[in-house]
Amino acid sequence: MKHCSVLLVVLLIVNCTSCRHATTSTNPQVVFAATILDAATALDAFSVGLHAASDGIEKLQTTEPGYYQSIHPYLVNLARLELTASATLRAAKSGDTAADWKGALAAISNAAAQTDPTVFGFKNPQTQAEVKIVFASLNAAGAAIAQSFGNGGK
Amino acid sequence: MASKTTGTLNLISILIGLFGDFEPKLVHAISGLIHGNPRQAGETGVQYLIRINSLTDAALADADANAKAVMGS
Repeated sequence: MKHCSVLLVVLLIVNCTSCRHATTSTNPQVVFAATILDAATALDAFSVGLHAASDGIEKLQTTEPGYYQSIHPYLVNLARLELTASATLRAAKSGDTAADWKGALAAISNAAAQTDPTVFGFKNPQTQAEVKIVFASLNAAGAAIAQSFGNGGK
Repeated sequence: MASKTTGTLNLISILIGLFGDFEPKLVHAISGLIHGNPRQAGETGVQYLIRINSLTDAALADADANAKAVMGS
């Protein structure tokens, strides 16, 4: 049941990359604002997954200390990139045409993809299944960002 | 925070009930992705623009809070 729930969450997040804000306006200002909102929402979803993953690995700190030491910097790096992307989106929203918000989002999805947080020499073999659940939403949100705003995205 | 459809939130809450501490924030994130923010009946273009800009600010504030929580852990 838990794995079915994880699958549902993943499918919802990934499938809703096409659930754009339904504006029929041709006003460039409105279209741009809706696009920035899409990006901000995607970034928020990623941050939720990131926070959830961070909370999850905290609970493994004593039982899997090597894994915690290995993966915690990865999450902190993603958090830093998230803050950069957030600042860049704000700048773009405020009219800074040089603000490369797509690049900032791509940096997040690229950094997230460089590591598979579920692969490690865990002391307890059952830990991997738990870790997959812990990182499910983060991985899905990162894939959604890559699909919508990554290299070749809109 | 943006408003969400209660019915869908409840459904999602039930379906991902086993997430424990992660559930409330995850529900919020998923609902935002699903529903989008179409222009409401009678809403002028300017009003729509103001509303979605406000939603953007809320999403970014939430994202920052989550990121800072991770960095502080």
